[in-house]
Amino acid sequence: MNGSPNTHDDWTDFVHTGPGTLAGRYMRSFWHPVYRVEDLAPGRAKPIRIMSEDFTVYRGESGTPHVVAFRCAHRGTQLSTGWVEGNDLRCFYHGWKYAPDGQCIEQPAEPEPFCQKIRIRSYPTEEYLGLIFTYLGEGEPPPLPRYSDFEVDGVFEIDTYVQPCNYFQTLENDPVHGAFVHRKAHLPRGVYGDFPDVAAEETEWGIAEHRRWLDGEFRTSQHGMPNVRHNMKRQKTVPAMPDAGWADSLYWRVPIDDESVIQFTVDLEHRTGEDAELYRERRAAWLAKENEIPAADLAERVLAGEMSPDDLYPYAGRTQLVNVQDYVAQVGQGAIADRPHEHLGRVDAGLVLFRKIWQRELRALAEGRPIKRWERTSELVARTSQYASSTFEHGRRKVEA
Amino acid sequence: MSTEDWTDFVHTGPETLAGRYMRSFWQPLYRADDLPPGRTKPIRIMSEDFTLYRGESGVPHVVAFRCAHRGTQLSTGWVEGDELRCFYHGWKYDGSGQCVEQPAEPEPFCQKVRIRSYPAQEYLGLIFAYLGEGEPPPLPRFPELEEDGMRIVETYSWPCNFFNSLDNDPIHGAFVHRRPGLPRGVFHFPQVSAEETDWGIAEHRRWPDGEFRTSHKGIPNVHYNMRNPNGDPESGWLDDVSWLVPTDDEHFVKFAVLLAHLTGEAAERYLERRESRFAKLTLNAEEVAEEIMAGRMEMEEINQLRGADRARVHVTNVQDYATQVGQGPIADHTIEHLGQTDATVILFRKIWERELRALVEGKPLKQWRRTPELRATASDRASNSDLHLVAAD
Repeated sequence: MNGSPNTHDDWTDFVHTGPGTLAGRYMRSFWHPVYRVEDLAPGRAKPIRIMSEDFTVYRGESGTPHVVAFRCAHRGTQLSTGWVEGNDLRCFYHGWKYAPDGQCIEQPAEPEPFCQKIRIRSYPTEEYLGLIFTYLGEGEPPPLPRYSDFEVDGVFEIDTYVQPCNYFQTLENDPVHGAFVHRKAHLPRGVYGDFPDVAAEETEWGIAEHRRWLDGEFRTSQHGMPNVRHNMKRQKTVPAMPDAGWADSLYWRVPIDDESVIQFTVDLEHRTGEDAELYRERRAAWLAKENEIPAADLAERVLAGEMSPDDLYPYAGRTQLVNVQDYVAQVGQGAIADRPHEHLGRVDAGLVLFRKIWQRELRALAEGRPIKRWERTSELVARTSQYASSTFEHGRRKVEA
Repeated sequence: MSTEDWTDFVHTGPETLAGRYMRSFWQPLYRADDLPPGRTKPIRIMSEDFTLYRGESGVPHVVAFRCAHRGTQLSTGWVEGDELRCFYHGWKYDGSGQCVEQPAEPEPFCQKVRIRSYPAQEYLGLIFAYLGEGEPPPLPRFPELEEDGMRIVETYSWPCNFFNSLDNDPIHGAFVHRRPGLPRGVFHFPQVSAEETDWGIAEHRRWPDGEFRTSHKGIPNVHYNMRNPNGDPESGWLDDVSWLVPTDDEHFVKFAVLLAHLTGEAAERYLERRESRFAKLTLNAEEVAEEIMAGRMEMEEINQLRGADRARVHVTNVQDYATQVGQGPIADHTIEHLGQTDATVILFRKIWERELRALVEGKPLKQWRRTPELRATASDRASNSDLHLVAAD
């Protein structure tokens, strides 16, 4: 490696993903979710920012989503302010019209139109699992990765959530932080849940991360390269559902820019028929309560020293407490965490492995060597022991015992 | 800007010359009453971040801002006894910054991990810290403020360089805090003189009618003057020692310790009057000053307030904010035109320059110390304070 950090060839820099960066080039070789389907009605356009670049996403009147350049080729105004006509997009300023492939097809005020010479960039776009995915890289896109275990009947919850820190901090959240960050309110001061044994190994898709507690509870989560996770989680409802199982949770951490990240989540609760209806109703009641106070508001107050993390517990049920707590720890690392000053231990083995894989791939990319073709096979799914509750309740059992 | 530039007093971040000089003195960084036992606060001083916490025993500690493990903000953690535990993975540090626990780590390596900690002491209702290198000097004492009486700690934060405020001069009052009743264009100002002392400079003001006041500037950033009684019938003049501490190069915090020489019931009565005065403050001085600076209000609207209307806003703070913040986030000394009345400002800067230059050249610095005679004084009768005049209205 030569030169300073953030140079084009620095394969240890995962955090900067703007145009021209190595990590940005790597990230752009994958499809990423960029918008939630239900937030984009037919005939509407939205400005989006992904990896420090701006784009226009719009949905044609036929329902098909498209992603094109942010600005009109004429005088550069923001195309999302224009009109969708059929599957085309017309600029607000002087009415130039573009087809979904970016080809200019009308210059209505121009006495001698020169449309055929004008084309803006457009990007392959697909709708899948309630999200709009786009391929922002060069060349032919790979096929959009499918998740057949999510292509089933069930209750889907699609969510997004933004944090003002680098995306890599959220990717590097580790499997033992829960005992502290999500500590149960009633534990005596200085008492924490016990910690799982942690193991991680490289897979065909990325990393499998295993946790095993003393009493045999175990959980495995899957990290898909470069920025996907598959976990199991418990969904809360009011009133609680009698036979609460584990939901499958699939999520992507997509850089908005180097200092903010958007998470797209697809949660699948395995219920059908009347059971699903009842769940939907009770889940909506829970979410209405839990979204009363935005997580960011409370987290920023903790970071400013106006509240302590223990002051958060009374807000449980009125805010997404887990999000507040993760925000405090991750945004608390700074806008871009200062990795050269870390002191990593054995519990950080998973993130050390994750960084090694990233480094290996970025280096291969910089040197023009083949990069690993990641593939999610049917066995690379999240698992959990059936009886298990969760890390924190587990801690409580220990303390009470 | 070179780090060797001894004419640069305004930049105090790490690696700056003025920052090195400022860090060789104890600085107040928090009001003691605002930090209960067992609580932590993130603080920013001279463009650096720190964690302030008070142990359950009551002892304050200042340590680094971030955990050595993965760098999250330590102020979000838990105080346990006199130690601080990180929120993210529970690493625990003692008051000296030594890591003493890594609970989730199968083979802890605590002894290899230590974060910086800084000498901290509580005094006069403030928490002081020494952020410099090497052994700290003794914390300077103010026996006058330790006397019997009612001690009050005030603090505010303004968006300009600390030196804008330190450079506030003894003449400005005739204009900035102009007596409301005077005819337009008529001012009432004192003769001013200043001299270097063992602590900094002494500033003397004498008005044509015989009123006089002496205040002291302590190097590097302390000010000792007598605070006008604001028309209070019992308090008399208050001893007022304030520190102007940079938050960063474009913000500072003022910490002031006031002593009213009242005890017992008189002190209680004074406190009640003071609280009722504060209860009437319904306008925020900083916001009003910003409105004036933005041209949406005029200073005269404030200057002309009378009686109950005037009691709604801290007029002196509006006026000082508008002039000091009005000089810009960092006042540009190169475009100034100083006159004879700026002699005290010039003297103060000369001393700073001399000391910064000595620091660069490795020559001995003056060891500042405050002797009992370097105490602020004021004649009993005061005329040139606007709040004083309110009471006379």
